[in-house]
Amino acid sequence: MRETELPNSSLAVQNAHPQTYTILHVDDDAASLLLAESSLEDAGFTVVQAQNGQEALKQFVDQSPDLIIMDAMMPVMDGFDAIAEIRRSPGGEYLPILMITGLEDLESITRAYDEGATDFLTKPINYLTLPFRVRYMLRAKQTADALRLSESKLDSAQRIARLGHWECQDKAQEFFWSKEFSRVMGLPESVRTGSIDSFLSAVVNRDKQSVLTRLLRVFETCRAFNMEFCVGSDNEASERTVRLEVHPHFDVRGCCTHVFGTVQDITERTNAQQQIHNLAYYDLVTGLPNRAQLYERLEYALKRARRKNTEFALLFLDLDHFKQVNDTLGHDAGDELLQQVSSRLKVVVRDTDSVSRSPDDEEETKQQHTVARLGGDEFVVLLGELNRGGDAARVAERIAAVIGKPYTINDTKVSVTTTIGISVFPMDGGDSETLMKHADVAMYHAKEQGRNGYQFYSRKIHEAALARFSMEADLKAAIENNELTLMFQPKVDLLDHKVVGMEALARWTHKTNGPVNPAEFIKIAEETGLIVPLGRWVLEAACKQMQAWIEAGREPFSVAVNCSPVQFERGNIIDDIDHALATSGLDPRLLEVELTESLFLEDIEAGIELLRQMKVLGIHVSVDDFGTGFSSLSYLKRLPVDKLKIDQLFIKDLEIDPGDAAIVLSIITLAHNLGLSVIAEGVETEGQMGMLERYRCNEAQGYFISHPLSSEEATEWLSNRELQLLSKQVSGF
Amino acid sequence: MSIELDFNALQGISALQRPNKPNLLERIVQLFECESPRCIEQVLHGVAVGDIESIRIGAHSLKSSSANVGAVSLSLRCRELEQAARRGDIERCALLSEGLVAEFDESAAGIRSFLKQAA
Repeated sequence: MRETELPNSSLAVQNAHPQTYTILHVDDDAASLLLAESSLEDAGFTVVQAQNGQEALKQFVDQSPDLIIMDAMMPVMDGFDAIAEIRRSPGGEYLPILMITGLEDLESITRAYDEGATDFLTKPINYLTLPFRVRYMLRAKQTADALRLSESKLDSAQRIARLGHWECQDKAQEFFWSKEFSRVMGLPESVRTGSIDSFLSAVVNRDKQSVLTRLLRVFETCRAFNMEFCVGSDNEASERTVRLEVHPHFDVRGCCTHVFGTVQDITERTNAQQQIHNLAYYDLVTGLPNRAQLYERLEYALKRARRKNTEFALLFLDLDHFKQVNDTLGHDAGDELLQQVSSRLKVVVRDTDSVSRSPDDEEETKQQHTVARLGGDEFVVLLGELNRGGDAARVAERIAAVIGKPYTINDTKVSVTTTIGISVFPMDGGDSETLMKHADVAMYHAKEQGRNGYQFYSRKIHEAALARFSMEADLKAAIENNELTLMFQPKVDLLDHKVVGMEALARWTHKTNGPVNPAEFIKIAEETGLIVPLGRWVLEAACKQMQAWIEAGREPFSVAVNCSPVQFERGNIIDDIDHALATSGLDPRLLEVELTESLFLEDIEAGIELLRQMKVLGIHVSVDDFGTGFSSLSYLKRLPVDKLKIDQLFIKDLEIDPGDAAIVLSIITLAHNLGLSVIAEGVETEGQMGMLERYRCNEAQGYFISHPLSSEEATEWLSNRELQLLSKQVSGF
Repeated sequence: MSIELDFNALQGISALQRPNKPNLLERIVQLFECESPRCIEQVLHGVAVGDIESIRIGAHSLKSSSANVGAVSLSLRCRELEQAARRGDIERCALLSEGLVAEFDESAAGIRSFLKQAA
């Protein structure tokens, strides 16, 4: 505080003063009392007197003096004891006390200060100047009072604001902090200094490292910052949220000399903000996201789907005859029903699989599934990232089934049904409004066709989804009922044209639609995860057939089975192989697994580990469709595979396209250099066979040799082949 | 015996005189005249019976009151007396107490004559 702001700052003793100060003069010498009284009263003070310490204490209580002049040596009670007593009394702690001592009595002066004297005067006293000394002491007292008041106000303000302060002089070595800092951080109040570790000891474990890192960085960057984090034990109930302000302090030369700042408890503010957020973004009755939040998530889903070129669906649903429940059972029952419906919706959506492949991505996708309540009995389910309408149809069907189960509300059984309208991005709209509108329209269509059902906005999608949906169901049934068949396509050695293997291929003939394109149903199987049981079945059937041929006296060759990457992600392919070998009794060396390159693209280490496990089983591994995918040569040498299969794409025009010929020759040379054998698929002409022979390709497979055959046909084909080869050999001799 | 008086002290007291109030200097001198014999008696009694504390208290009081009225040599004597008493030097006290009465009488007389002159 500046001096000019103080009242009574003038030193002019003679002036009239707005306030009259009372001075208590304690002395056993009557003349001294008289002289001081004359001088002080003349200067405008009120003087009260006492002859010894005992009387002084009484006067102190009765008169509440503003200042005491105290002689040291007095009968009854001396000045030292009197001071000590006054200092202990209420109101006496900060009272200015001027001690009068002998001129050279150093011992008395020391003792006077020890007992709490504010200042001292030596005898003989200059009574003329005494008022100046008194005035000075009163002014110092006022300054000190103002300072104490200011400090106490600041302390109170900081206590009320839950605001503590701290500083660190030397490069994060030692920190000093205020009492309120300790309170806010939950540290013992007695501890007010310590290392950076004790400074941050109350920070919760999950925040500690980041706070530490940022705090240390300020000593390098000298830039102010603030951050919010939690303190207290790592359980949410007792945690507090605090905001730490960090400021560097610069000297006149611009060097950072120390760092200081504040810490404030902002728990209540944060909670309030959270509450405001909840009110703004969540439905009060059900706790579900409300319309505002739905639109935010919808915008996010739109951005993401556009970026990743994916689809998503919006399911608009309301409860059929909800109004009747409300009218007959009352609004509380209606709210209760809405809450139960919400819970069921959340469960359905939570259990909805995403099409994502990696766990991280899956987490992200899960968050994109949103159940929101628009108001009344209207709900919206946002299904993030779909690849096909069938997913939405499946979810809609499950929602309808789950919502349709009876509810118990106030001991009354209640049943409601729901009608669902579905719009799909991007076919049914490219923005939130359109998608919402079209889902709503679709719902009304569904209602027209009888409640408790679902309807896509687009008839085409609706039909495709239904078709797809029923196809999935049929495929599932076909696998379960063993309605799939296995075909075998022979592979021959290009040196002696002997059969070296058969590729096993799954085929499905739909009960009503006839044969289904393998590419089509394999894709469905992969997308739905049905590939796992399907793959398992193929492995077992192939091994079993191979073993049957061997047991029938056939010369052993290998059987090749295609495996999809989905089988590795969703199933346990190693166990499946092991099981197929064990149940069939097939020699593992006669089983070949064909894998596509894509398996190794995402995680080559996992791919290598998988191949290693296959090697342990003793089976052979080949890389299918080589040349069509990424075909990284650098990883090829790291993969413990036996064979490359050149894709038919390169074989088709082998005779007419010199480019394809060059590629095929390169692949063969490369594979041989890596110690791998090579098979060409899709061989359809004698010319192609001839070129592959010249290129020293090891094996071939294709229509030129044989179409895929049923097991019976294959058995016959093998017998004929043996006869042909035999006759060739015979004619050769 | 030669005494020393500082009349500035008396003038200083006059300077403290406020209008329409009893004469301060007169009052102080009266106090000096009336109170001092009791202090002197305390000192002499102490010397006579060997009561050091009595000497110290008497000397201390007289030291202050004499200094107030400018009785310089008397005040100095009292100071020495007080110090000797503190040391417990009873012989020195006895020595210093000799002539104490005379010094007081002369000082008081000197002050009175100054007051008369001033009046």
